[in-house]
Amino acid sequence: MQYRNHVIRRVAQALLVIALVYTLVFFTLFVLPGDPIENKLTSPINPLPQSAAEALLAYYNFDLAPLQQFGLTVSRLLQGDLGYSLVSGRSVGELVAQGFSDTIVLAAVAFVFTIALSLAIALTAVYAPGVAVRSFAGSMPIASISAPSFLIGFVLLAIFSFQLGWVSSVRDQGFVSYILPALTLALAVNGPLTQVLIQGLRKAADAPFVTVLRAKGTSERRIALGHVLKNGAIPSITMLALIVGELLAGAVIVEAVFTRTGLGFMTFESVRDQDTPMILAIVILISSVYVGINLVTDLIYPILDPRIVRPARASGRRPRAANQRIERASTAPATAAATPGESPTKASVDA
Amino acid sequence: MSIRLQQDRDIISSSAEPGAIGRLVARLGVADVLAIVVVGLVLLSVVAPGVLAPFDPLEPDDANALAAPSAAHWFGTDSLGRDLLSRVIHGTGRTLLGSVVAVFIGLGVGTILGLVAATFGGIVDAVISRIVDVLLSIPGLLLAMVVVVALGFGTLNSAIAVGISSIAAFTRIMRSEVLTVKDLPFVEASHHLGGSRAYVLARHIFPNSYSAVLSLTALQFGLAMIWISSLSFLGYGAPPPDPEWGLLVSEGRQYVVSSPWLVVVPGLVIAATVLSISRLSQLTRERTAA
Amino acid sequence: MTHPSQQQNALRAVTDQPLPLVVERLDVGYRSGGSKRPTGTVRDVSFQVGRGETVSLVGQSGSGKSTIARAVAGLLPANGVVTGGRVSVAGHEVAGFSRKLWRPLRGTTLGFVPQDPLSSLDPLQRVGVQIAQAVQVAGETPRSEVPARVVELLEHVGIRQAATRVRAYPHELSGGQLQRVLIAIAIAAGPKLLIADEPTSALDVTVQRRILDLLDGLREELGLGILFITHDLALAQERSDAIVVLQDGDVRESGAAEDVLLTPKHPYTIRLLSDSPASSPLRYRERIRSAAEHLRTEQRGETTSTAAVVEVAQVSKRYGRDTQSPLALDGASLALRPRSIHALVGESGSGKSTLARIVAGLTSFDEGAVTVAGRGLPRENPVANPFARDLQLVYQNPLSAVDPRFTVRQIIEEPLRIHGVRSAAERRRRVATILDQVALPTSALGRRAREVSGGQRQRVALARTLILAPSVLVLDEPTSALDVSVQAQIVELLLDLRDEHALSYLFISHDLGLIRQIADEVTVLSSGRVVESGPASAALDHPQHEYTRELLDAVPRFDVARLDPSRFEAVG
Repeated sequence: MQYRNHVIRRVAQALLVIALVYTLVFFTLFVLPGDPIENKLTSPINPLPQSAAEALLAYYNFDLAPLQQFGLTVSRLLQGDLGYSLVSGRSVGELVAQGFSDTIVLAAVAFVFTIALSLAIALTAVYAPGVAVRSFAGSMPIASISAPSFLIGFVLLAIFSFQLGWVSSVRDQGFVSYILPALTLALAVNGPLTQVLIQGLRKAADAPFVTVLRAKGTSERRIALGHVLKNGAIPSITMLALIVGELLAGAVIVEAVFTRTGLGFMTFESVRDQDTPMILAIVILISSVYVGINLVTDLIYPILDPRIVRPARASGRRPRAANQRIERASTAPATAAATPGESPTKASVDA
Repeated sequence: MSIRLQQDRDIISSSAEPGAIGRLVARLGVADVLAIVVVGLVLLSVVAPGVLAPFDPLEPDDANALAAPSAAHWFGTDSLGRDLLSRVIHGTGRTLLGSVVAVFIGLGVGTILGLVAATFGGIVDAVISRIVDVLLSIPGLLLAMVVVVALGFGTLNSAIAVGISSIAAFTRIMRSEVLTVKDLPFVEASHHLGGSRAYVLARHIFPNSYSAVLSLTALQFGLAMIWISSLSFLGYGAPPPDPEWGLLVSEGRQYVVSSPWLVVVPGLVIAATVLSISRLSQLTRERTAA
Repeated sequence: MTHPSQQQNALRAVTDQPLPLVVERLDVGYRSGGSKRPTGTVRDVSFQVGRGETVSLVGQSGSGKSTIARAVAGLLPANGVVTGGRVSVAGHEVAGFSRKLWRPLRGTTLGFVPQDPLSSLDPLQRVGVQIAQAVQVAGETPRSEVPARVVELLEHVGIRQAATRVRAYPHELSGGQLQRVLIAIAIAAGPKLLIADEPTSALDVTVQRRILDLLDGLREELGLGILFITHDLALAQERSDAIVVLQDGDVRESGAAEDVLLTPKHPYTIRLLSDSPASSPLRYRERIRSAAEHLRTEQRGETTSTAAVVEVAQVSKRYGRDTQSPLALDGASLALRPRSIHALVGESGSGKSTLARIVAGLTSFDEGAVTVAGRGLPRENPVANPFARDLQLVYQNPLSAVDPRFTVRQIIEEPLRIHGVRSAAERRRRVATILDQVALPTSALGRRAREVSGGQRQRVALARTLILAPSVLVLDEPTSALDVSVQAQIVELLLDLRDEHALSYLFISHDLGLIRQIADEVTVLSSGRVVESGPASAALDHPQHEYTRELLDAVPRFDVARLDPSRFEAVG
């Protein structure tokens, strides 16, 4: 029962965060710089025909006070009306849905690549024979963080499209077209995840229980993959939402480099044209994905780690220790960065 | 047990001997030396770009347009025949200054918010923490774009935008560090010796939590550089023709098939700079830890 | 080696089985940094363990005892290497074996019982699964019978309701239960030799006793050889047939337990025996008695009453708001007389640390009264300690109690700065004085706490608290992390300081041997209640309460009557 309350509370918290994001972005975009929409629509260089512009002006009710405008937008949002693009006059909902359907595939492929890459690098950094190989792999995260994604994209493009001609840089080749951009995203975004994974694995590999496993005759392979990996990967679970958020945001650069027309490209265009209803919708979409995944990882955490006592089953034994675990787990990325010579934080992912 | 003891001994001997700095220099690896050289060159480019740059960064040379890297033009030339090396050198100041502004904003505001949240707790902490949650739930680059839309395009505005979007990270690490340090036994011990709240905060809690924040700063500095160049790569930052690193990449895009160095070289310069800065920060951290 | 007893030879002749363990001229080293050549940590060590026999490796930290255990078990860390000699485990020559070569021998020839039960099991797996892995290593048990065998093993090591316990996760079991599970894992595949690396150092003394009884029982029943690693001489004496005394990686003395401990030959063994509280309970008797008499005569002469410097009356404390949760302290009372040493004894969870923290003004309390030097302590304490000049707490772990950024000088000076001693010259003078009193070299001043040895750290901590000239010290297990020799030095220092500064000590400890040596009065806590209180000799020699008796029984003790105390005095 208590676990259900816990779930309800967490869901409510997540909804609150999304609502606050919406409010914050709305007032930043609509209110702070005067009336951008009005300026935009009445500007002579606006591509919209006069009649459409006037219809939009009427739709957005600029004569109302900011709070009333906000109320109006929210009530429309609740009815599923996201407004209209100031540039094309088309429905924001349709445009975003169209862009998202392409970019979510890109992000999903990139997500798989990121996990695979992080695991490969982290396992190499901890288990590869030879100190040189291990320390090389160990320095990969910082290299990943340092390389701007457009550099990675152009280098991949130059090698695989222009030099080797394996992938076309213009023609749509279905799934193949996703590979280079997804790889670019994975290379650019994996750094922080890999870093946390390496630390987790190193810590788990040094844990006393590994000695006991070895002493009872468990094979080195099974120790590494069955025990160390499981224990060492738990802290990095809190980073998954972050990774997905970064992948979606990183699409802005990557789609520009690979001239794709997904959500990222739409973001690029909307920011360029100051198409505020579009920007608002995109930001809300991406941060909802982030908050949603964060919520899910939070809720499945107790299933993955039995030490985290669900509120419902909290027994008399060591409740304090269990709470500390939760605390530590949820702040893992932040505290990881705190320890010298170690992981970058959430912020660093944003590269 | 014996292993731990040995390590203890190592620590004792390494720090007890004099000339620690001299020995540190001797211990520097190739990567460290390279990092120092890169950061040195970058700083020189900021202070005196004219000394390093072989050409005028804005002077077109039609005869030499899109020349590949050569002895005369190390980084090649762009579509107007301008020397890319000179443009990179002259662009350093803008990019670096932007990063300094961004980090200054993020560090300043974030540290104060984090310290306030952790010290006062209660409702203050709850409010600040919710704000941080909200800010962190928007990926940094996207948040920076939103702020840029509000502020308008340009070098300074994009730097401010990047700064604002890094506030949450600084706030969170400062808050969690202060909360961690606050619970450490030595803080309690200092109160036990009679230390007042203000004394312990200033003498123990702040210095001990700040070191973690400072190590984030180096990282965040490199990150700010990448974000700022990303924004100008997308065309929201510095306007042409003045050189800026991200802008250089953006300008070279059209010619990426025939002259890939126009995008790759400035991109590599950014990567090398960020990498060197983080390497150096690691080095200084190792020294303070020793 | 010299030891193997005659029974042992006889046993070997009859069964013709190889000895569980033979170690001959073993050298072990560690590679550090980039160097190819390992630096020797253990040199020329030889001993053997017979069937049904326990051999103890005894030494302080850095003696190499754990290194030997790990080398024998093939569990050295990656940079550790056996550089010479031979190791034979149940007839297999294993010196220099790789991890791969070791695998077939795991479990079936050798079981390993680790030091820290709390972190020695995979936290994500049920204990039953972890035992099952060990059962299957031998490959003799059919798959279908494994679960039954796991339950049987758990019952064997004394875990009640074994059938349900197999489904528990490690964090759901207590330290003692975890150690039983680890023993079950170690014996699952029927080894000939058990290596127990300080298996009870993380456990309470009553739990320790039960675990060691279990090991002894298994040894007899299964004919195991046990290699037992410990720093506790009394434990080694009580539990083993033969003892190997190690110092800095060399064997100082070895032989039958009786011989080594009752007629020690090497000066190092003699010193260990003298420094170890259990083997020299009377070491400080004269000092304690004369101090007490001195005090008594002084008090008789003066009008000042014998009023306690610290008085705790009916103090209760509950953590958290939940009224269902048990009281951490339940009406505890004690009185610390001036210039006396009052020991506070109890196992973990007994409330002794809570009481110490309440007296030190670090923890609030719900009911009762605490008086320090005549002033009542408020139930909720202000952040800055107003009693700093009257009473100071000495923390258990001196390293965590000082700012890692501070040098020793800054650490010792800090109280002066807090209390407004502005003049740098004055501070320097007082630091120099106190440094002299705690016998710290001036060279330590520039270092940080982590750069000095454990004993020196505790001296730094004492210097810092004494610079305020308090009259009472609350000492929270001040020597529990130290080797006996260093502990003895710190105890001497504490006694000296008490005499010089007329200090009174509230001394928290779980080490009954140490308490017997130095305490004037004893208060025994159990589950937050005072169960025994009074003069040390009465409480320890004629305990009234059941719990105190159990506690005292569990403590490994030397048969002191057979030790000749005069021999140790020369060294002490």
